Amino acid sequence: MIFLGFFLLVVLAALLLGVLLLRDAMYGVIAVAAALGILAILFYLLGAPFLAAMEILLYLGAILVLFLFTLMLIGPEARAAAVRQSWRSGWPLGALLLLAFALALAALLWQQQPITAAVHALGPVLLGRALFGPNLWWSEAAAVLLFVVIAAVLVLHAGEKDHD
Amino acid sequence: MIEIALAAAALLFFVGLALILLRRSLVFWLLGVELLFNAALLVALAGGARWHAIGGQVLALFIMALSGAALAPSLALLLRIRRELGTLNVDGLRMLREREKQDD
Amino acid sequence: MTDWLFLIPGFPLLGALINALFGERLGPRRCGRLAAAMPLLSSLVVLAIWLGPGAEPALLDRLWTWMAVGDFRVDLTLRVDDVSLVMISIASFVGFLIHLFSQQYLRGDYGERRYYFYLNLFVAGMLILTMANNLLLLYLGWETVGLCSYALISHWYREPENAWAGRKAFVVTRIGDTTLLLGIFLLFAQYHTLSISTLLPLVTAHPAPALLLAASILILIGAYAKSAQFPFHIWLPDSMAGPSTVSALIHAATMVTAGVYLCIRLLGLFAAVPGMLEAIAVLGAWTAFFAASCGLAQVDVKRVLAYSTISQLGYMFMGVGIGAPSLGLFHLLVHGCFKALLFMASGAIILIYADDHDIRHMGGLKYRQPFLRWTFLAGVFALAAVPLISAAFYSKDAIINASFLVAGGGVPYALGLSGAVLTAGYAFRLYFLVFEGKPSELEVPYQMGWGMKIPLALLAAASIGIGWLQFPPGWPGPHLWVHWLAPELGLPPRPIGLEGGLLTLVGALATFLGIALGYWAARRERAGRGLSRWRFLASGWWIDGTILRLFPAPFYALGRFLRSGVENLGVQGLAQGGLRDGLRLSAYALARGENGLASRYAVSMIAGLLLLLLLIWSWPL
Repeated sequence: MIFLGFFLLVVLAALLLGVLLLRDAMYGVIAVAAALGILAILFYLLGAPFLAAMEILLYLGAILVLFLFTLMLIGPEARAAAVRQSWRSGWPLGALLLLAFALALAALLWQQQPITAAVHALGPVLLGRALFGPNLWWSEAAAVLLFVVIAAVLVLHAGEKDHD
Repeated sequence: MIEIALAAAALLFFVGLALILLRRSLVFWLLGVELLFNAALLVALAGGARWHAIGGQVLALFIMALSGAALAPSLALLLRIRRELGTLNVDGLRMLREREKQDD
Repeated sequence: MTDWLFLIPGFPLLGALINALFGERLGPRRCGRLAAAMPLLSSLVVLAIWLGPGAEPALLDRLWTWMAVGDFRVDLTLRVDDVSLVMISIASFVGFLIHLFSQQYLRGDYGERRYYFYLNLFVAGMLILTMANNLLLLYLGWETVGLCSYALISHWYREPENAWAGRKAFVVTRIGDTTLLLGIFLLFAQYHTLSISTLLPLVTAHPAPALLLAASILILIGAYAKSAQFPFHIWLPDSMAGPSTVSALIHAATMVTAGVYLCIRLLGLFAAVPGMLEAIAVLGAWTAFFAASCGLAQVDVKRVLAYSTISQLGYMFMGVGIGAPSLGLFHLLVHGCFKALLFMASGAIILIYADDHDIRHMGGLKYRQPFLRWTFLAGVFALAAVPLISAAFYSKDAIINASFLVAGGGVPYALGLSGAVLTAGYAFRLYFLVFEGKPSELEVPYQMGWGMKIPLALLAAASIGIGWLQFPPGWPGPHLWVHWLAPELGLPPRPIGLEGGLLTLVGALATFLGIALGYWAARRERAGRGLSRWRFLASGWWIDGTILRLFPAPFYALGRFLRSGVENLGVQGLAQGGLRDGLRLSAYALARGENGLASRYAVSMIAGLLLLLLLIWSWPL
């Protein structure tokens, strides 16, 4: 199990490095998609099978697809133009970030007590009960929020003269 | 397992930050925001697994919903910016302000 | 039944809400009908209580918890016991009659919808006040009726004097409101509860003399300001600037009686302070005498009735003070009926004389308006306490006679009896001047519709007959009132036998003497040599003028000083320009930071975030 975890971590690191370095937006999105897929497996290993499925369905299936649609709407010329000027700040900032990351990792691993805990799977039934029991109002609020977002997006595009 | 999850979350977080700080295209900005959200998601799940609480998954689900809710208008705005400014350069957003001044 | 108690204030509140939200679309006529229907519905619920369970034991309806902080808890509880049952009956039923009267009286006037809104809100506030089981809820009702009183007095706001009258009423009652609030604070500080049912037993069990004295004085001032007792009476005569129906409802039957109600409710509090009740009796009797003397010299028909209200309220307080609160409540009921009648009738009179209020220009109205004349006469009979056939004979005279028996009741008795003479005097002076004599040329023909006649008729019947609920002891006839209220308010002292007979006779003689006085005063007034020329009486013993000169003047001076002082400071600052230039420089510096580069914003945001995380992490918890 742990080996699988390490393996996933390595693949994830590679994919994310790819996102950072790849110039073309389309490639970047694909890389992120793959990374999120790896994450889904990680979720499953953490005992959240429902969320793993949600990650695939929602994130990859809806949100990243949204990204892809947007990229397609932007058009290939704009993407090409973006490729030409893709990096902005120089290496100092990147090095700083790397340093910060190393510090965080060190803080995580040099713990006094290692966080060893057996992972039990908490299935969708429990999740459903929790969502619609004590957290009912939050669920409803999130639903309302999504409605509002739909309205917002419609408003944002309401003034455009050419509707595809 | 939990440590691996936390390490992955740290990785996601910093890569997301790097995308925001180091890339010039707005699309990568939004991808970075996505990665940040996922980092939070992972931490929530790790917490839930650590303490055997279903609250972690509940929180994670809400974060997912929220990130979608944040992303949709952002993408819509992206398209509008592309239409108005003709570029996806982050620095080009400054032109929004100067255009306002001219319009006044 | 207890579950439906909330409907009683709920209906008028709903009426006000509908009026506010949809009144524009409904139009003034429908708003008026809606507004009149609401107190009718409330009185139907009250009737259901009378016919059904009654108020013994008291009906309690706990609605919800208003606020709960620490050990301070205020529940919205409506409580109906015998006393509040009487009050809500008056408020709802007389309120309905007045709404009915207003339909024709105010038709076509400006602000009709606004009038009905405030009227409904007022009835709701009064009902809340009388049904409150918690002093804070009572205060809510208290403030509501004060606000509506202000709004309704200034109803015809286009004339500045009316607005001023409203402000004057509001400011004077505000003084009382503040002292009432302070008294409530004191009581809470000592006893940690504001619920009336738990507070009073605590007060009797653990009296704290100094605090109770202070609290009772403060609360009493609050009651005096609301009920226009001396020296806080100055707002009531000027409040006649409002419509007569407003005067009928607010300044006769309901709001001004709130002070009396408060005293009856908190009787235990006042009884725990030695000498307080005696003081209340003397002050009440003095107010009764003082106001009656002023009433003899007024020339505005409504001002006569205003001073009359002040005087009659004094009798009610006197009743409470001598240990006969049930008699005080009886007179409250009787007064509500005949005073509302008189005010509404005076409204009709004013319309008939084309908005002229001066009674010296009136006369001989009996020929063309017989219905008005007989109903008005019934009210005047009640006011003067004509023996046997008026209700006040059984209530007011009972109070005066009872004071004879009480220790230390000599002064109240004397003042009350002389006041009764003067009362009959100004009452009949008013009647003679308006209805008798030669008809005046100012009269315009006016036909009262059923909406106006029914309330007058009902109240006239009540003014005559409602007293028959409680005959004096030893007389044949019902003795319902006192014994019904005895479990709550105790039995009042009542003279019996020969003493009782003699006292009643003296009271009747006082009334007849007063009628003669009124006739004489009316004759002199007609001849142009009337009492109205005595500035001392006509101006209310100059109290009003004195107070206005003494108290507001320093405030105005302070305002003037502050305005010029602040102006000078402002001019100085501008001349030196220190603040202005400093602001300009700093604004310029800050503006540099906004360059519109989103990426730079992101960097600073993230840097700040990481700094924050570092701080949190390293903070010793």
